[in-house]
Amino acid sequence: MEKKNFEEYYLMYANKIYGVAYKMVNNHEDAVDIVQEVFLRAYRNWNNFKGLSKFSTYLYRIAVNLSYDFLRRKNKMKRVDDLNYENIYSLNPSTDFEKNVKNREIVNEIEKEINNLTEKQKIVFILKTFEELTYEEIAKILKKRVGTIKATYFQSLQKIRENLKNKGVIKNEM
Amino acid sequence: MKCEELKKKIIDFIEDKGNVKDKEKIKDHLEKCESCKSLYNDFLFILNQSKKIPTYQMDENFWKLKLNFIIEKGKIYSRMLKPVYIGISIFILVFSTILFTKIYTPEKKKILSTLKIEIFNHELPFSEEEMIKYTDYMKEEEAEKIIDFIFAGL
Repeated sequence: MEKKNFEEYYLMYANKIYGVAYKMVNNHEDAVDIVQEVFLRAYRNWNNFKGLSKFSTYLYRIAVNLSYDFLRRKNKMKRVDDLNYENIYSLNPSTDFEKNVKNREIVNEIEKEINNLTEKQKIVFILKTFEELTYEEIAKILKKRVGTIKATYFQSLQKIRENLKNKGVIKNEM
Repeated sequence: MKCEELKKKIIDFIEDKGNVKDKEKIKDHLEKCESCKSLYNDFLFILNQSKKIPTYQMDENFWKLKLNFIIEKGKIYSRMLKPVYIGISIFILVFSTILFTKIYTPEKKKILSTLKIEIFNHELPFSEEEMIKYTDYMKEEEAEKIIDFIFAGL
């Protein structure tokens, strides 16, 4: 990987890292700060990277650690609902979603429950569900065993399910 | 298949992973077990609905602007680090020189060279018995090796 390719890789991963950071910290400015810090560190260590897979693992790992640090500093997550930035756009604003209020409420409830997960459960859920990474990739990023990641993912789904049941979003078993 | 086993494989099943045999077993179990069927449907529902959560992205120009800032900051950082590295290297060099001169004084140098000559001439400043005494705390084999080495050819 040559130095001149840094920009290429940066543009390839900036939005991915932003997506993870945003979902973790729920704040645009903080997510952008995290992306900047991630790539600043990557830039400093650019000569040490030997392969793209290692580079992406490194980026995700730094992003996760910085998000953890941020959440610990803030001690709570804050939600910015007014995303009025001109250059932010939603990737999947399906018309069904926008029209169907009930559907939107369900999605909002699920989003809230994702934010109620523990830090570890949340990051595993985000990397698996939204980034569509494999268990092996997540295990490398978080430096955990694959079995642990699988169990954490199951627990996160189970927790969301239980909370949605309690709220009546999901019907209880008969 | 038992419910516990199904729970371990349910996510792979949702993602259409795993072998055909397992998939068949899971399907059979889901038809019979209401509790697992409910778990499967709920997980599927949560994952499908989660995909509808908007993923916000930034315009490429936005990131390009940030890139300039990152590279500039990165360069400043390397410029700042250079004097630090040079300082540390000079410190290590000076420190090791002082340490070496303290330990390796001309007097000690003389003693060491005399000892070397004595060993070379087989005129050791200690007897074999003494050596055994000092090497007593070692393992027998190790001590023997050292003694053999020193007294080799005596």
